[in-house]
Amino acid sequence: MKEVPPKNYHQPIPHDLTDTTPLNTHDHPISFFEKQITSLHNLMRAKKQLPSFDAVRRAAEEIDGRFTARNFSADIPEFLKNRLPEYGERRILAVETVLCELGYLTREELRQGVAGSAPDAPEPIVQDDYAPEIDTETYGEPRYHTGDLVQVIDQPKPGHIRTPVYLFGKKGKIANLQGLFANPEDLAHFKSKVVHLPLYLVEFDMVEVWGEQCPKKRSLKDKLRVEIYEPWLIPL
Amino acid sequence: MQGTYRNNSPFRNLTAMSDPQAQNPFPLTQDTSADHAHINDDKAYWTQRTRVIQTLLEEKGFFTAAEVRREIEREDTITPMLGARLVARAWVDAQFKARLLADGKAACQEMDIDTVEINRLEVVENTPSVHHVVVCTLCSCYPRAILGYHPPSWYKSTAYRHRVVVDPRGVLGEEFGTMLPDDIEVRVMDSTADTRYLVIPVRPAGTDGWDEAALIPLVTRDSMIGVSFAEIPDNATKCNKIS
Repeated sequence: MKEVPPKNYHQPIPHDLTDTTPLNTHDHPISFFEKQITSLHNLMRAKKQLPSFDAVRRAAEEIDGRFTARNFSADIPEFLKNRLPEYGERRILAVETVLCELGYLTREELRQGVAGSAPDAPEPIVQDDYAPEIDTETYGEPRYHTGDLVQVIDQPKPGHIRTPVYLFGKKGKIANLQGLFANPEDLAHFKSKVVHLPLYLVEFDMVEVWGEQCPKKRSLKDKLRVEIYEPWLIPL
Repeated sequence: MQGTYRNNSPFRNLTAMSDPQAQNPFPLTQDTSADHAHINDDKAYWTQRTRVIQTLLEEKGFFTAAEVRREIEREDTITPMLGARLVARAWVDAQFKARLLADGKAACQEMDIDTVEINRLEVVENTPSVHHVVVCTLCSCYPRAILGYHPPSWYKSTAYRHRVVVDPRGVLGEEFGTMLPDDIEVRVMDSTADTRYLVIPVRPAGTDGWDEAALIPLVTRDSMIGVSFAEIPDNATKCNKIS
């Protein structure tokens, strides 16, 4: 399995703190294709053909980057170039990307299929399963303990990240050590070596995170609790 | 010490339950096929594109059409009823509640609820002094194995994800009619990583002496996300459903 390095068009999930769009709290029914892609994806995971959701999340962020830059790949239909893909549509595009990266499908097969011709593709070269080496040594002993004051590093990192951008540079307090987990930022890019990391629940004061942007008077007591992996934190 | 992903994988034992109905005898599946509230003109295109993926993977022997159909059916049986059972049990059984708060996955196993897909489940309790509300600002992480495979559309919307972390009281009040007292601490849980969160809402007043089965209909999906309270008994008698 070859690593998939970060693309130059990768777009981390942005956070628009000025968004005031009203919510439509009336549920939309789920399309059958959305149920189908979810089920296909879960079946492939259940059969160990897909290692985790992380690569699909990463692929979805790459799609976001392509749409933002209007740098469309050949698999994007014309009608979609005038709007952003909806939730289920983006999922289909991301799952296709990952299935192709893993060698289970090819773009040519998908193209022929979409064109409606009978699938007459040669046998695919199915690559080795993704089975990275797990590094449990680099981060052995958790560095922080409940109550420690920490700061989130204020530095973007290329590729898939699991620290929300709105927390960059913010100060908080360790609320709990959640355990040790394989780094999803490594898994997302099919890294051959995946670091096992301490994961902390970090508590932030609303006012520390948003300053003047949050309704200060009513937010003074309020907290954000977010899970952060150890490499994203520095001690205070 | 080093191993391979395969040996350490949290997904190692991820297999569909042989009898999904066993954990949820009353799945309350609603047929929404006739509901065209949201029409996407490009639906036929995506339906075809998904069918191509499925057909190609079938031809390559990764699964059969029957397996896909069974998986869709299994996912349809997972509804907020599962979460409601956990909450109602926690309300009547303090020892169970303690176990649920200490180790969500183990407590689910006691109730025959399959959480194999969830790496870590943290159940948080709303009280008169703390109110939790759950979001995933990065994507749409959600305790799917307990509340259903498809989160509500507003939960997945960028508007909810952007706004609830900045002004949770405003979003709950304006959008959900959930007015929180000034002196309560609001905790927004942003599920960015390996934990999925389930909220135990405050048990409604006027339910003293109610048994577990009578309490279950009071526990709504939205109350387990934390955007609303559990139903009060009068409303529940009228609606008597999991929204």
